[in-house]
Amino acid sequence: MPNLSKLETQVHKDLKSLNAQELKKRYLSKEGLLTKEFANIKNVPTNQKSKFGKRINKLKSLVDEKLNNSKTETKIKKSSRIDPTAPFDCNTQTDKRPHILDLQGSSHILMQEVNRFNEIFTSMGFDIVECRQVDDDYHMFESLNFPKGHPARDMFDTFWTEDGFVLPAHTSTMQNRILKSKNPPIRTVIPGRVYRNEATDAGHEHTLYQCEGVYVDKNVSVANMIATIKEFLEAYLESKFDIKIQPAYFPFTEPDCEFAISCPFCNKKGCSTCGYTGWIELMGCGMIHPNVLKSANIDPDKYSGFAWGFGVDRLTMIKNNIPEIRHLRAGSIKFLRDY
Amino acid sequence: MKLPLNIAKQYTKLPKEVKTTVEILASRVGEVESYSNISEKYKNVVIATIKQKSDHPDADKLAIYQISVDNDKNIQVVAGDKTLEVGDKVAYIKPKGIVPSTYNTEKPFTIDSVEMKGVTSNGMMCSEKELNIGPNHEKVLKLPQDAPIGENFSDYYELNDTVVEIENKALTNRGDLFGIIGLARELAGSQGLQFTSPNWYKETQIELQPSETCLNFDIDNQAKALCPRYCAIAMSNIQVEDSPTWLKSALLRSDIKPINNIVDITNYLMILTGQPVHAFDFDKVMKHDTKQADMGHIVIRTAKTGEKIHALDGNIYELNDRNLVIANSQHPIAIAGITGGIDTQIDKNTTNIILESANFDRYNLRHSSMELGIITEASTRYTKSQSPSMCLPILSHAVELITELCNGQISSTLMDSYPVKEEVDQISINIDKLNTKLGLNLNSEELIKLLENIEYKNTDSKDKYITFQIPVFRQDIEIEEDIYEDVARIYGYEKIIPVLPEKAITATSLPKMMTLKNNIRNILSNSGCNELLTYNFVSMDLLKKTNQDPNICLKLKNPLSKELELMRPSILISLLEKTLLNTQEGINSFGIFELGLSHQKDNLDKEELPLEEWKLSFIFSDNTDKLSGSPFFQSKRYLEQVLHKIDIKNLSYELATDIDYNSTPVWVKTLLNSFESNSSAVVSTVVGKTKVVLGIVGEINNEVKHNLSLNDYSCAFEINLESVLQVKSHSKKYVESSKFPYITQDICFVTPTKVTYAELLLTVKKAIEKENIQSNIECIDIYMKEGNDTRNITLRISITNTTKTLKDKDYQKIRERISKKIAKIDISM
Repeated sequence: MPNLSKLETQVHKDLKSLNAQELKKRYLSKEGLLTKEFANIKNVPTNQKSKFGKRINKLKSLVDEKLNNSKTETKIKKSSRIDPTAPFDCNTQTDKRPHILDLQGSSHILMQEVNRFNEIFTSMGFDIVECRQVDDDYHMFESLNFPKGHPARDMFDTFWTEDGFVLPAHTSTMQNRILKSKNPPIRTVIPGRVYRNEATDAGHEHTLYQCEGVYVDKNVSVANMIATIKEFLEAYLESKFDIKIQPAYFPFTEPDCEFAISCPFCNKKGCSTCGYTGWIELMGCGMIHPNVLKSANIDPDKYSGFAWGFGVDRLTMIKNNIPEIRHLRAGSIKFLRDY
Repeated sequence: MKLPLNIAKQYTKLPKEVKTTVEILASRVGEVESYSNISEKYKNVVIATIKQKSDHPDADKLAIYQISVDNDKNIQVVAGDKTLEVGDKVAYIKPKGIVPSTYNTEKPFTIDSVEMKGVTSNGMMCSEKELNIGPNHEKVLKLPQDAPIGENFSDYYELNDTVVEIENKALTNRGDLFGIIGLARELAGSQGLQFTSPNWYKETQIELQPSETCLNFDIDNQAKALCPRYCAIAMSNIQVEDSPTWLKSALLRSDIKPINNIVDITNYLMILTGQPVHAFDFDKVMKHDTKQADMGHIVIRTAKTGEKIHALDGNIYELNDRNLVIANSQHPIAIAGITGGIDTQIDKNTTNIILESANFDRYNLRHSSMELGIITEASTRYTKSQSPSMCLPILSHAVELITELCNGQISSTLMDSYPVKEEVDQISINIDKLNTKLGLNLNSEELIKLLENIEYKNTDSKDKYITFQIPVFRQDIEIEEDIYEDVARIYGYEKIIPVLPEKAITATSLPKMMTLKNNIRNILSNSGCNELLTYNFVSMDLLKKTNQDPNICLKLKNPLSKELELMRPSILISLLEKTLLNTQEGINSFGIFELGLSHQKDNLDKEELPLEEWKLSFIFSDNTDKLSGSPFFQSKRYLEQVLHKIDIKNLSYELATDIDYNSTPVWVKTLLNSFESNSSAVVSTVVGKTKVVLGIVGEINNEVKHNLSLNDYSCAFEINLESVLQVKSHSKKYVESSKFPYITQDICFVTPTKVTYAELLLTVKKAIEKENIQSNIECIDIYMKEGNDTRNITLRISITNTTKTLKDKDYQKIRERISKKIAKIDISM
């Protein structure tokens, strides 16, 4: 058995005197003393192998420990005091001073689309109000004609906080506030972040962007609703298409429907974007339920209105050919730079 | 909800083309998820008869059969089931046919001609399971003797039918449309046809009186609020057996497994009408009721906490006092409207039954169903709301079918607990209002015809007011507007001509906050940075790694996972996580930012909701050697890039370690721990005489860098955009620039470390300041020799006079003034 005791003495001595880098070089580098001994194991007689192995491993762990400790020690060291009012640090060479990156940056693709919506809706005379991101049961459900325990609440897989707040599952959570905020005519669009408690996959996310609209005035009709939504979509998609209204159910509208357009990519022939149906279902809409108007102190005999809501993520994906919804919030610069 | 069109056809005429029917459903009823003809599954499955049978020479467990599909040629098939005899009828899959139970699955199984221990087998004879019509997979299914040889199995089993699946969500408020009759009614109305419900659906057709034998039982409704109606009747002399083919087929097309004639009849009525019907084995109800065995007792009550039931799905459920149960005098025998119990289920030996047709409170039922995690065909239908008025006619039709198909006899009087009888509603419609709101122009005849086609009844018409009696099976009609929807749907949305609303011209503009955010977005994305959107949810682990306190966070009651259980108290935390990701993806130098909201548990606004203030968070990370010195200065550079461009220039920086903790806003305090205190600063500005804190800027805390394996050169800022808006001024001052040349000199100031750069600059500026004098000052260099306590700060000072050319001696005078002023703060030139 090769003599290890000499090496052991040396290690114990060096642990005290050498710094991390020196230790690493002397013992663990390619030519390091311990590395060599490890290579040597094969020459040790079989009956002594285990004993030899144990001793040399112990030495290695001693060195490793010291190295790890020194790592944390140096990392956790506090930075030294600077003069925050100066434009750059002391002794910084001219070419290494703070500078603005000479790169093409990007604003988020979803925000680009939201801005486009906002432009169109403001040009159509709508106000814009942003959506809250944490709200209460009253605004999310009760004021929208979802009594407590109503099965329609199941349609919205909602997150709740332990303090009883609700994470809005739709931007309609702002409807009551907006309807209360002024007298009709009311024309407001509400973009905002909403949440759905559902497992994520290529097409589903728990965090989404939605855009809601409300229009309340005298003699507002379903015909007005269809025309308004169509007007917006034609401006946004920059094309003409056919529309299809399908019945649906939402507690806060009556009648309620689903708004679909003929696929602008294949002209109803069927393609991957429309799932080979020729049609794309874009949003839910309907005439605001009289109970919703009443809970905002608007007389449903005098006024009527419509509302709609659509998912921005999906429209953005359709328009920009993005295959995975999860890319949108993964935060990878590689993806973001492409848009 | 599944709609087999051939069953619907028994109740109304349908268009010739299936596609047209589907289009009507989609445009008049609700979203169609899919539709297909079930017979596609059985393409190569035909009825065959066994002609010869012999043993397999080399395998004891196999038999060789010669079968025929035309009574002419024989086909050799090897099977593991040796119990078949010559003359038996079977369902046979030809080679190249797909086993029906695997059709449209991930692994469709195609039958081939194969050697089985040296004997060729051409195709396969199917078990129930392989045909997807029952659970048995050990034996080949023997078909009745009347099965015609050569006929396709799906034709024989009446499965040649198109089934349309309608999205349940679209029918959430329409319990009546969870029955085929309801959907048939809508289909009729949409084609302009008068629909008439079958007589048995409208009212009881038979006398519900016992004939001879008497099965004694009573019902006790102890929870009237949760059980508006409970109808039950006993029947005896039942013969439980397999259902006839037509009945099995009807259930199979609705995706319900045939079990036996009694259960199948109850399920059949449910798929026809939406009203669930349940059958208990009378003798088992008695047997398990050891207390009072003289007669049967059905008790409707809430469960006792801890009470258990062994349900039909095989699981044992522990109940609580919010769950409504059906019990005998001791134990629950069913969870009301959700599932029956195994102890009282119908089996082959059942001869006496109690039939139940009841109505339960849908809110309570939904709660129990969700709490216990049991969703059944019945619970789905009950939560969509069923009509108490329908309980009796449907019970009585079940009795009719059981009499006919199972030889049953009524053997008790009808038990009917119906404490508050539902009244027939009448609603008046203002036809002018209807036309205005829908954008239509219907006259009263058209309106009446349209609604009477779907069984509304016109009871009165006065001027523009038309009154209708609401059909009893409709639970969703409460107000006039609910009827508008029926009109719009049945009439057709496509007939409404879109008209843009007339409106007064009003100017609109984006809210200030949105404009500000857009500006910032433009500035930073034009400065090489990338905007991110990240989740509001963060993990406990991430908070710990970023030195943040999880106790200030809102916590989700029902998070998707542990990783997503807390609401972030600042945006920075999410960005820190993404910094690592991007470094790992090989991006060496980058700036990322997010405009978002964050929440803190105890920081509430005037609505008593968590305060929401828009923040801008930014991180810069670099692992090249293109930058040196403290990373603080790089984040400051970017912060000023933003703030200067939106005209906030009067900024002051206070080192994090020196700040007055008490006067610092809460959200900044919480962020301090994620920053390095000696190389980070709280940034503020002054409006009038008030200091307004904007946020925090500086180097990422070294521990945080270590925990997240971030680059050493990592810095960040987070600012409050509400404060930015508050201090942002909108008027810019115009300063006419001098027409005369500048004189420029570089001056080095030996500055003690205790004096900041800002103090030096201010002092110099004050010294220069004079009428007609304009100046530009640029910092050229800051140098400090190791061990010294002074810095050499070199400023390039350019000066001009707006009225005349400045001379060297004038500059010299200014230098002297500077020299005098700075001497007071121990600086020399």
